[in-house]
Parts: sequence; C-alpha cells; structure tokens
Amino acid sequence: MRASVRLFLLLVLAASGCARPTHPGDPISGLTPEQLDRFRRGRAVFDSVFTPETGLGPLFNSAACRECHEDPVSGGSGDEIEVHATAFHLDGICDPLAGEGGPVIQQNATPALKAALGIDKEPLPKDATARGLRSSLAIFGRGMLDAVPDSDIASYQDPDDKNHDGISGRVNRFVDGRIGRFGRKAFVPALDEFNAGAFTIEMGITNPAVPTEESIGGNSIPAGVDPVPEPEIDQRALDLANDFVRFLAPPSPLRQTGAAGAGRHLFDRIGCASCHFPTLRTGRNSVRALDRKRFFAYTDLLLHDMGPDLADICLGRAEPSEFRTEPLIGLRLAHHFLHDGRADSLEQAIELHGGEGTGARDRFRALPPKKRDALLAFLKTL
Amino acid sequence: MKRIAGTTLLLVLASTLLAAAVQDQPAHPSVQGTIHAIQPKSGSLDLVTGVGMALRIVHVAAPTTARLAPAGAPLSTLKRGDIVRVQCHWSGKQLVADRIDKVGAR
Repeated sequence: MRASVRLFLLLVLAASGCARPTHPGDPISGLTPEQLDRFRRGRAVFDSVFTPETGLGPLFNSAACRECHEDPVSGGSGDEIEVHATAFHLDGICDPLAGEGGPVIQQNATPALKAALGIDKEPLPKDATARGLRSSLAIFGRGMLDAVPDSDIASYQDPDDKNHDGISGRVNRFVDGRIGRFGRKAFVPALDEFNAGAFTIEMGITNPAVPTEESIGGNSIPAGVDPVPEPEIDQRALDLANDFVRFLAPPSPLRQTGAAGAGRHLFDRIGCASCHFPTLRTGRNSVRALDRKRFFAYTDLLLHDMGPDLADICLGRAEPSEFRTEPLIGLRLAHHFLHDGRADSLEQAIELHGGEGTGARDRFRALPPKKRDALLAFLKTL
Repeated sequence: MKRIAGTTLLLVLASTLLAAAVQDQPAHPSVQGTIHAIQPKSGSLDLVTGVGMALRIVHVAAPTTARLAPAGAPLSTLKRGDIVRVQCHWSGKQLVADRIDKVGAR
C-alpha cells in the first residue's frame, strides 16, 4: 500500500476514533440492543468460575476465562504463563501430539485426579521435541480479526520474498487445511473454534463443539474422577461467551500528537509496518458492526521467521522460529511482551526481534535517541 | 419389588441415552484432517482433527473397497502430513472409509 494512501486511511480512522473512542472492555460500536444484551450476558459466562462440581478439570490451566484475561477488565491480559509442547521431525512434519494429550500441557489437576493418579499437572508428552511458554494476552478486537477475509490474509503473503524487502510472510494452516489466524502460531482458523477449544483445554469444560475431555498423556481419565456429564456447558452458554469475545472492541489508540505523531511515521519508515500492518478491513458480515469495517490491527496475521533466539515449538506449518505477527491492539495496556512474555519493555521486545524482523530492529537501533523515544511514545498510544 | 423397579428404570434411562447418542451420530460422517499415521497393509488411517487447540486422533479403517481420489490410487500413495477428507460410515463403533480425497499436502 502506498504511504500516502495508508496515511489517509489512518487519518480517517483517527478522525472516527476521536468521535467515539472505545475503551478497554467496551463493546464494538454499532451493536443492536439484542447484541449488546448478548455481550453483557456473555461476559457473565466469561467471568464464571468453575469448580470440579460444575465441570472444572480434571486437568486445567485456570478456573475461569477471566482468570487469564482480567487486566484491566475482562478480556484483558493476565500474568499466567502456559506450557505448550509439540514434536518437530526431520522430514519437516510437525506432530501436535494429539495422541499424547495435545499441544497444551495443563498445569493444574483437580483433587480427585491427584488422589487417583498422584499427579498435580499433565506430564510433558514423551515424544515432545520442544516446549514453549505462552503469556496470557489481551483479546480485545478478536472479533474484528475473525472477520477479515481469508483471501485478504492470503494476498499479503510473499513466501519467496519476491519484492526483496527481507519479509516473506506466509499463512499457517489448521489440521484440516483451512487458513489459520488465532494463537501465537496463527494455527486456529476461527474465533468460535478457538473459544470452544479453550473451554476444554484451559478449564476442562466440555461443550457441544468439544464434547470429550482432554486425555492425560493419551490415557483416559480414571473412572469417577470427573463425574459431571458431558457436555459441561451447553450451546447457549458457549454462544454467549463467543459473542462477548467477538463483540469486544479494539480500544481506540490514544491521541498521537508531538513525539507520538512523529513516532507513527517512524514506525512506517523503519519497516515495522511491513508486518505490523496498521489497519485491516473486515469482509461482509451478518453483524452490521463487523461488516466491512477498517480497524487498527497492527498485524498481517501471517507467519514470519523471527530467528533462532525466539524459536520454540512448531505448530501446523509453522516451524519453530515462525510466529504470527502479534496484533498490537491495546499494546499500551501490556506489561510483558513477545509470545512468552520474556520482554519487560517495548524497547527490549524490539531488540529481541530477529529473522525477518532484523532489518527493522537494526534501523530502530540506528535511530538517534530522540527518534527512538518518539517511536516508543507512539507504541504506548496503541 | 423396589429393586426390580429401580433396575427397570435404569435400563430404560440407559437405552434412551444410547438411542440419543446413536441419533447424534451422523450415519455417513465426513472427517477432514491431517494424516498422523497410515498402515496401508492393515488398511487404517489415524487422522488429527479437532476444534481450536483441542486436538484429537480419529482412527478410520480404510478397506480396499474405499475409493481413493484420484481414482485408483493406492492407499500407499498417501503419507503422513497429507490432509484428507474421508467420507465414512459406522460399523459398530468403528469408522470405515468409503471415499478418501487428498485435499492438501505438506
């Protein structure tokens, strides 16, 4: 996209943002009263705390969606760190270890499971070749990302770097071949599927979309350990939770005046925007508030090689060093950065960019201190 | 007497639940996923399927009567990492392939 066109779109968005800014936790603007009601009721499901008596576990990471997405409001970030593991084989095949309990390694067990097996978390699968840590990020604006057409994402690819800019993004694909976009490896194609899977893998809450519990390293759950019949939540509750997440607005960026305004131009000029596309546009959507809307996303939803220092697990077609461009939606609210939260500051996060991010990182390093500060000031408005 | 009534009630309840479970299973399901393992000699496929990050292995019997697309290709042409769509039927608790389409390759 030409810089002038991009600048025009940014100005249009900024102007509309001035008119009706959305704050963290707000619903997207333009919802019908019925959709707003579903958003509010869905938040109640999202905030529900499960217990073993209501279906929690027997393996789980947390007892509520909100437990990992709580700061500063429901849907925000959390300080929980997850453990994922997969096996990357020499023939280039990635095994998500579905037969050994799957790639998400639950870190808690119910008292009944502890009593039955003497374990307090899921053991790491024996065939895992790598382990990765995942921070709990804010999920604002995910409904907008969900509504971006697959064809748009595919059109951003340049796997052979034909334009010689050092950036060669490519799509990831789910196990059934569909284009992925959610998760740090862009593995999951759709938001409702990500949510339904999350109920089971994060909390052990089965639902109509995922009616079976996670296995324990591939072994069945001992009899009597999980007495609540499947599914442990019904379609109505699942749909409400989906609507809460789908309708969570991306918080409007703060005003970008002075240094932040200069930083916005630098973000484009040094190449950050080559992967962190400032805006994306939703396609046709049955929800009017999601229908053909341009929004600040700061991602291309593609996989990029980030270099060996950040590499951890493979997933789908994503190799260990490939990660999805992180959407910078609500970045000002984050306390830790990168996929595993290893960076405590934005500057450190930029410094840790390798692979396809090397060029932008080096240009950032080469900036005089005042311009570096301007770029960081811009990022703190997002 | 009470015991007989209780047992009858349990049997009725169990058969109702079983009938509901059978009704929930489509007679000719279609499974699309990545081949995790393939045994051409014994005629079986293990597919990785799932919803979101909740992934599961689905075991499908693939007898020689199963049609492969492109037509006539042997099961041994498929390999781990290929993405296939398998149209099946139930034989007891076992999924049996009627037709296998390769829809993607690693």
